[in-house]
Amino acid sequence: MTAIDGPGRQPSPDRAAGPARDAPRWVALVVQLFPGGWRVRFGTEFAALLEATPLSPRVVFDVLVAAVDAHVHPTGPRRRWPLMIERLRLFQLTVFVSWVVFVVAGLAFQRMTEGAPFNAVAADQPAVGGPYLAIVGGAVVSLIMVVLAGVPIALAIARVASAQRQWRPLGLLAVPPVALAVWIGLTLVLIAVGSPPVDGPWRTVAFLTWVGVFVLAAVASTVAVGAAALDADIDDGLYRRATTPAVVVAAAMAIATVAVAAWGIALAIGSPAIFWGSDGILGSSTPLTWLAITIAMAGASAFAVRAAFRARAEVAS
Amino acid sequence: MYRATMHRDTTARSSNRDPGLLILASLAAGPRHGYAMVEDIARFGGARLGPGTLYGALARLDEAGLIEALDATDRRRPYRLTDAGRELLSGEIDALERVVLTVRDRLADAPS
Repeated sequence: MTAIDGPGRQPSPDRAAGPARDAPRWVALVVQLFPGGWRVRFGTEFAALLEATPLSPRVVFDVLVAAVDAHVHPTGPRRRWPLMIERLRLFQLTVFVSWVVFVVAGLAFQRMTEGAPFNAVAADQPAVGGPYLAIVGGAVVSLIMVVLAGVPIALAIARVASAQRQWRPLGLLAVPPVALAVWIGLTLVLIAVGSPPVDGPWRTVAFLTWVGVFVLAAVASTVAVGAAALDADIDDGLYRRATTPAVVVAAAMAIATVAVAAWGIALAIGSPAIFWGSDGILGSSTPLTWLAITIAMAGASAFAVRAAFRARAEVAS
Repeated sequence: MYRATMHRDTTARSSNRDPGLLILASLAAGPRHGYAMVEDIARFGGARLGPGTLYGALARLDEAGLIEALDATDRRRPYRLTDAGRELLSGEIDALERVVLTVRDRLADAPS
C-alpha cells in the first residue's frame, strides 16, 4: 500500500462526483450540512472519507462541530480556489469558446469568398490562393483537434451522468445536436420556400434569419457544453490530455487568421477593383467585411493562444 | 495566520494533538489523501482524527498556503506540503524540541 492508498473499497472512476450512489444516506445528508463553497471544494473527497469511516457517536459529533465551524469560520474559495484542474478546465473552455467564435467568423469569410470573382482571383494569383489554402488547412486541423480533445471529455461526462442518473448534463450535451438539427431543418425549409430563387427583402430576411439561428445555435451549444464541462467531475487526465490539442487549435487559429489578413492584403494589391468592391456579406463593403472578419478572428485567436499556453503552464507546473 | 486559525479544532487539546501540526507532519513523508493521513497520524501521533476535524484543518492549511491539493483519483484528493508548510513544520518541531529538552533537564535536576 502506498502513502496515498486508502482502504480496500475502490470506487469506479465513473463515480466521481459527490457521495457514491451506494453510499449510506447519512453521508449525503452530512455533506449537505456544510456551506456551499466548502462542498464544492471538499464535498467529494470528504464524502469518500466519510464512506470509509465507521459510523459512531464520536464521528457524528466531530462532523457536526466541523459543519458549524465551517459556517462560523468559512475558509474562502476566494483565495486559493479554484484548483489547478479547475483552472485548466477553464482555460480549455476558453479555447473552445474562442474556436466557436473563430468558426462563425470563418463561415462568414467562406460565405463572402464563395462567389465567382474571388474564386477566379484565387485561381489566378498564388498570393491570394495560397492564403486561402492556409485558411482551409487551419480550419480542418483545428476541427480535428477539437474533436480529438472534446469527444472523450463529452463521452466521459455522459458516462458519469448516466451512471449517476443525472439528467442535467445529458440534457446540456443534447443541445448541440438538437441545435444543429433545428438549423439544418430551417435551411431545408428556406431552400424549399425560396426555390426558385427570389430577390428583394424576402431574400435578406431569410438570410438574416438563417444566420441568426446559426449564431443562436452556436451560442446555445457553446454555453450548454461549457456548463456541462464545468459541472462534471470526470477523470482529470482527460483535461490534461486535451492540453496539446488545445495548443494546436490555438496555433491553427492564429495561422488561419494571419492567412485571412494576408488574403485581403494580397487581394488589395493584386485585384484592387475586386477588393474595394461591394461583395461583402449581403452586398456590403468588401474591405469592411474582410476587416471585421479579420478582427473577430484575431480577437478569438488571441484569447485562444493565451488560454492554451496558460493551460500548458498549469500542466507543466 | 496558521496559529490564528489552527487552534479552533475541537479535538486539539495539546500541542502534540494539534491537527494542523499532525497533518503537516504526516505530509512530510510525501503526498497523502485524507484516509491515509488519518491512518498515518493514528500510527505515529496516537490520535485518530475525526473526518470533520481533519477537513477543518485541511481547509485552513490549504487557505494558509501550507499545503496544496493534487489531482484527485477515485474521489480521493492527495495533498502535499508547500515550501511554506515545510518551513513552518521545521520551526514548530525545533520549538517542540527545545521544550522537550528543557523539561527533561528540569525534571532531571529537580529534587525528588
